[in-house]
Amino acid sequence: MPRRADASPPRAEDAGARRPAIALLDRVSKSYPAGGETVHALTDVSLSIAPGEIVALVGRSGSGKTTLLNLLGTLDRPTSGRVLIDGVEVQGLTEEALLAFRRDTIGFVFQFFHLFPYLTALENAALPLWLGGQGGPDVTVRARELLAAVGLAEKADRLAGRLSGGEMQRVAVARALAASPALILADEPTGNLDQANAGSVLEALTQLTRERGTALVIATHSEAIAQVADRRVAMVDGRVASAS
Amino acid sequence: MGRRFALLRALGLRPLRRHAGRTLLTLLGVAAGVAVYVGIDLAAESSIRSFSTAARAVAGGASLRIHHRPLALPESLLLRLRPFEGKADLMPTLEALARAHEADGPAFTILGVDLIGDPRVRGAIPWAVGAATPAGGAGPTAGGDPLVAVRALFDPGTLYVPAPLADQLEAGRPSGATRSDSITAVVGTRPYRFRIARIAPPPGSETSVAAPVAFLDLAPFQERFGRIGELDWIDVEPRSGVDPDSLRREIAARLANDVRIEPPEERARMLERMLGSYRRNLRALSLISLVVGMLLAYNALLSTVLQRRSEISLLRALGAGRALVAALIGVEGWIVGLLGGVLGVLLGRGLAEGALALVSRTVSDLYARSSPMAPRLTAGEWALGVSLGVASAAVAAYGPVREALRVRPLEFAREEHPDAPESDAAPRRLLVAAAAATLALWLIAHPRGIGEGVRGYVGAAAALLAGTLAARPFFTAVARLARAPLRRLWSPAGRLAAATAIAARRRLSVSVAALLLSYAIVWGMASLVESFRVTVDAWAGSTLRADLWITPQSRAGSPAEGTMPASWSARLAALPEVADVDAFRVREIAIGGDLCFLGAGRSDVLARHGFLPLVDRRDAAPLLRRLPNARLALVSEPLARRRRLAPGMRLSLDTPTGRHDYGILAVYRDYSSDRGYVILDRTTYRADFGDSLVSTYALYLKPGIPRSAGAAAAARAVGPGELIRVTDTRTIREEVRRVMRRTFAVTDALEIVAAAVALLSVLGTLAALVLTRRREIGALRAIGASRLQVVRALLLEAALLALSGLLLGALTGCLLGGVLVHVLNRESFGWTLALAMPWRRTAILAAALFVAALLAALPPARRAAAVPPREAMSRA
Amino acid sequence: MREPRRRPRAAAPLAAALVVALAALASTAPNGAPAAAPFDPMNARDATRFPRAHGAHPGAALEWWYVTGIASDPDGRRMGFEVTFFRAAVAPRVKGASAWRPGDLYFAHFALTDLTARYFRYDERIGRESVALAGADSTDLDVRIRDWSLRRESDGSLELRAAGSPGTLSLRLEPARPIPVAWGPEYRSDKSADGRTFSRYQSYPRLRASGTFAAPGDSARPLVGSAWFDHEWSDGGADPAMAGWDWFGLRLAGGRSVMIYRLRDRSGETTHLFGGIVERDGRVRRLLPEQVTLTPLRRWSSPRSGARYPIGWRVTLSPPDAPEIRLTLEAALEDQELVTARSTRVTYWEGVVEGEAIEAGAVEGVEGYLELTGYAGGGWPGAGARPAR
Repeated sequence: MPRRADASPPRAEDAGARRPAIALLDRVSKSYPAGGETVHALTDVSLSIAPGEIVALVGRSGSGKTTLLNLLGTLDRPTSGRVLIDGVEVQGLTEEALLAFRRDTIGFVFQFFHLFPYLTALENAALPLWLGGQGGPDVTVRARELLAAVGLAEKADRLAGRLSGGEMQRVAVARALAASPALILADEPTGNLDQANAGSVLEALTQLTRERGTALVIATHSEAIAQVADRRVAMVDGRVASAS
Repeated sequence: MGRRFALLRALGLRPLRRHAGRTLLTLLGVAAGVAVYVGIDLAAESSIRSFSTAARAVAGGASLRIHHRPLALPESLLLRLRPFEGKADLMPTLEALARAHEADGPAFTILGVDLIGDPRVRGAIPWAVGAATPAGGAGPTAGGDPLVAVRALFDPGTLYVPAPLADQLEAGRPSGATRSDSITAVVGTRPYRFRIARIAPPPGSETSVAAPVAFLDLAPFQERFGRIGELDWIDVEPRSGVDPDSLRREIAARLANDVRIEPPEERARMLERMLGSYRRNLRALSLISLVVGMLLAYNALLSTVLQRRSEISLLRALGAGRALVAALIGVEGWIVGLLGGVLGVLLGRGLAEGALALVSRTVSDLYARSSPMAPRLTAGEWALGVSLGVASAAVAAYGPVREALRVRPLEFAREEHPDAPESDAAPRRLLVAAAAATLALWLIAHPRGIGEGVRGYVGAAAALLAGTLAARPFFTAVARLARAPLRRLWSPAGRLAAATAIAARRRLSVSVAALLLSYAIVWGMASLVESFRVTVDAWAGSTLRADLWITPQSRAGSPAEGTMPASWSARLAALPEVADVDAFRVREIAIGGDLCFLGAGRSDVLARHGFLPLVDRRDAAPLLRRLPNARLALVSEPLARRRRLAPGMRLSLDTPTGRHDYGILAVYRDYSSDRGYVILDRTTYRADFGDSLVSTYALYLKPGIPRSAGAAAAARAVGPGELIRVTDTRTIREEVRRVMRRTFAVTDALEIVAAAVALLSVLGTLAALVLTRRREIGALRAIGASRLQVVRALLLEAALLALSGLLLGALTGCLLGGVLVHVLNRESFGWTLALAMPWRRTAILAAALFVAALLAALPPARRAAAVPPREAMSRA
Repeated sequence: MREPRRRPRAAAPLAAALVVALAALASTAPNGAPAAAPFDPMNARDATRFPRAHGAHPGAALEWWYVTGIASDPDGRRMGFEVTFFRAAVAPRVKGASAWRPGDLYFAHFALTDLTARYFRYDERIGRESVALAGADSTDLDVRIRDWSLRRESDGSLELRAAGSPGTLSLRLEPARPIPVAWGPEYRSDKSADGRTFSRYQSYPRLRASGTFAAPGDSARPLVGSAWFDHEWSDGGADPAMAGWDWFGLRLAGGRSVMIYRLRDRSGETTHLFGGIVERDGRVRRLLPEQVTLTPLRRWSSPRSGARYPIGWRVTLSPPDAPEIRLTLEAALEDQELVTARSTRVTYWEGVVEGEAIEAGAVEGVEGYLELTGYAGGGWPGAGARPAR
């Protein structure tokens, strides 16, 4: 199904692991100028995420969670170190190639949903596929399946703007899964939801990723989410403090 | 208070710097609106002022004028006025409309006055008797030989020309000309050579560039221009302590019934009244750009509110009162309004220079001789401009401020889609829009009735209101309808474009309104022009049937200027090339305070060769045959409408043989003058007015005679000494069209500005949308949208916007065109026009606007494409 | 013809000015040769037949009507007035020409000396003989420029009206006798020693003046006093050596009137002197040059023109068969100078003089007008091209 953007991307095999890591950060640092000085957002972080693994990324505001997420999501490039996603060293990709790679490999769930209110739930879910140039009934069928999977089968044709917050985020989950990515990055996915909705969203997210063997990285403040994860990576001042 | 102000400065003004581009855009919008209004107003004002100055300069500030328009006064009338010499200065005057001999040379007036005694030239001509020279006052300027100096004043070869006019006349001379102190003035068909004696401008006429008046003494005037024994008028200035009104009554009692005494500016006033309506029309038109500019400001302010929603919400949570929030948004409006007003006035001053040429030509073409004067930026104009700026910003800020007040405290905690309107109120809007449209339609169907004079404006406003109110529902509907085709054509981008367009319909529809307003105005004006063109072409084609027209070369404007002798009639008729000759006389007359034209021609010739379209579509020929030797008249449509005349009614005219009643036989269509014509047969006119001069000869050539041959023969018959212009009908028709094009040149300029402001609005709106949608766009990029897809989506959105603006603009424009043609035009000019739609012109313009809107969308689209995908991520 | 010498009064500066001007123009003006004209405008018949003689004498190149006087209102406010009308022929009438092409031009001066408030104001007019602007009747006295006029009524009185910056003057002037005083036979006054040119000169030296005067912005007040009237016409020509003249028109309290003028050359020497006394009974006694001594006592310099006018005089009259009369005269106001830039373009002094006359030990008051010309600028008005200053 998903095609690789490049026929022979540089692939680094992790000799120690039984399976290759879906995401690998190798001594990654990220700094950027801000107000005349350099902020070191990440310092020398190495992290490996296995396929199907659920990782909770915890830490206080400013600890480097979002930066880490941006690097994992190929939305940003490291200052130093290597980032390999699904075995591909993303620094080497052109923007066009990266766009296609990201579309096929990574799904996103945002804190503020970022659905298009005047598209239906179905259309929102199908959007990544359409953006990738796919069309026809297959896409609709797949989107409908995913919506059914997040429990919104009967609301598939409703405008996203008319849905509740929880429902919207479940649509976002469906959208993140649309292109069958190997990795889903969720940025505070329940931060804007009440507890009940947060629960249902989290359930949908974890259940569906586990079913599909998709790796999931959730940046969160929530201990409840951290409990659900296979692993917990705590960030302090741009470093990985502990990984359990 | 101080602290509060500091807060306001920090929260209200600092952000201005942050979105300097948008603030600048708003400023430009307001400034453009103000500039157009001020510019057009200034141009119209200075053009009208120059005209009035010219008209009033001749009055010299006298309080009363004795005249016998359209005829001359016998100079012996002064003898009857001798008893009043102790009470008033009596200033006999003669007038000749001249034109410098060079092709299309400047037109000016030669006044015949008493150069040695007339107080009006006091100070300008050294010999004029001055007022008091109290002992110790004047210097010892006595000396020189009195008689030599006086005799020079009576020299028939010397024309006394105020320096500014002398400069103008010399500037117009071909560079090859050698003798710089002499000119040839053409009066009627005759050249008159004069030596120019430069004089200071007469006091009180510092503006005499616009009052092109030269002076000749009464004696040489009468002798050179063949006016022995005649005066054109006598100005009367009461001495101090003499009541002008009672003097007027006393003088009136001594004069014959048909001689009038009235304030000299009466004629100027009548003309000014007509110019007033022209100015009103221009003003109404220029208001449009103000509205379009206002829409732009509204949009920018609304964007500010939406963008700063969370900030406002936070402020509210921190305890900021509603007043502070209102002030926060209001301050931007105020600053923009104030600066926009100032900038607008300055721009308007520049614009006026450009518009002036256009406006002046029209004033000259349609109303009276005038030469442009520099626009005068008065304190009043400043006040007007700045208050318009502030007012339009205040109106524009109303909605955004209300929006800001609706922001609840702590709303930032649950970010919603910022653009979602609380409610579209679509049914209410549509209802009002429908009512406005119905009103406009009703007015088109019933152009007459109460409120005449403003029905046109009401109708135009209703049409534009309908369009503006319908903008949002219409845009939403278009976006919904476009969803399916867009999905099919440009799948993800099209789908997104429709979705985001609907989401942002509120702000986008303001731009839609701006676009539709400017397009509707272009459409409406173009249909007025087109209707004019089609109607006048058809009219000219059917009525202007003579082959050649002979007019005096001095004629610069009004058809009443310059005359030719009646004796040419026989000479022209005797030519073997000529089948028939019509001798047409035109004079200016006043009917109940309206200045119009009295025309007298040979109705038998007209009946034989011509065609006179009657309003009631009867055949004119049998009526024309009844005209000779009868007190019967035809009136033109504009006059009939203005004076409410109809066939069967009687019209009273003052003539040298007394006041006579003329039965109105019919009303005929005429597009040559909005002042209107009363037409008599030449026989009746000669009998009643004792005047045999001819203003225009119309020649009907025998079949097969080429016009050039006819023209040559006519010129030969008239003689080489006569300066005439022989024009063929095609040239006349072209002239009619040229006048029309010039008349509407100003409106073209207005349309361009309105369109430019509308395009600015498109640019501004989309730029603001991109700003508020950064995260959304970031998310889109994160989930796999390419830059191209983002650009395409925004361009499609702009296309939707432009499409709905143009579509609704076309509908509104049709409505507006109907109002302009059937209601406003009738009220202003009194013409019946057949509504014609300017398809080609509007189609081309629509295409241009569409492309321009897409181009305007390009910069925001590129900015959108540059939004990094990580914008979608939380910043926490 | 008892008088051995007859000189024109040459009262108005304009007279000479216009005469010279006309002489200069004679070569170009079609009427430059009066000798060829079959009609002689200076004929004695038209000078002695009344009322025709009061009217204008068309054809005569120059003519003027001159009124000066002193009057007071019921509050005792005294004022002197001068109203003069000049007629100058410009060109002959041509058939078919505009009625506005002037055969004659008219000028007028109106000066007022307020002897109580002590100020002097004047105004001037110019007008052409045409349809209505200005003109004079040739059958009786009726001359006017716009609203300024001097007219003889059927009862023999003169109606004078002038209005301008000095105020509005309206007077009725009643001559003591209907026939004007003749200073020479048939009113003739020679203008040169050889008598080739001459004027006709008629006077009412003592008119009863009554009427009203309204100062600017004020209402009209009644006025009573006495006035002097001159009417003179000539057909041009003047002694080129003449630089100016001094003219006296005086009324003695006892009822006699005295007129004296002298012509000066450039060095200030008297070239001609002429005078006469009108007795109480109207008889005219001629004064010969050797019977008159004129001694300037005081001069005043005009700040405007720089002219030094002799405004204080001792005049001694020694008639052969009567006691000597010694007059002392002083200007009632120093500045009574007229700069007539807007009409005749001459600068002259004309104003009220007052003083006393002593005759055989008896003293009587004297008042009248003094006219001084040719003091300003050094040139002579009209005597060729000359700068304005």
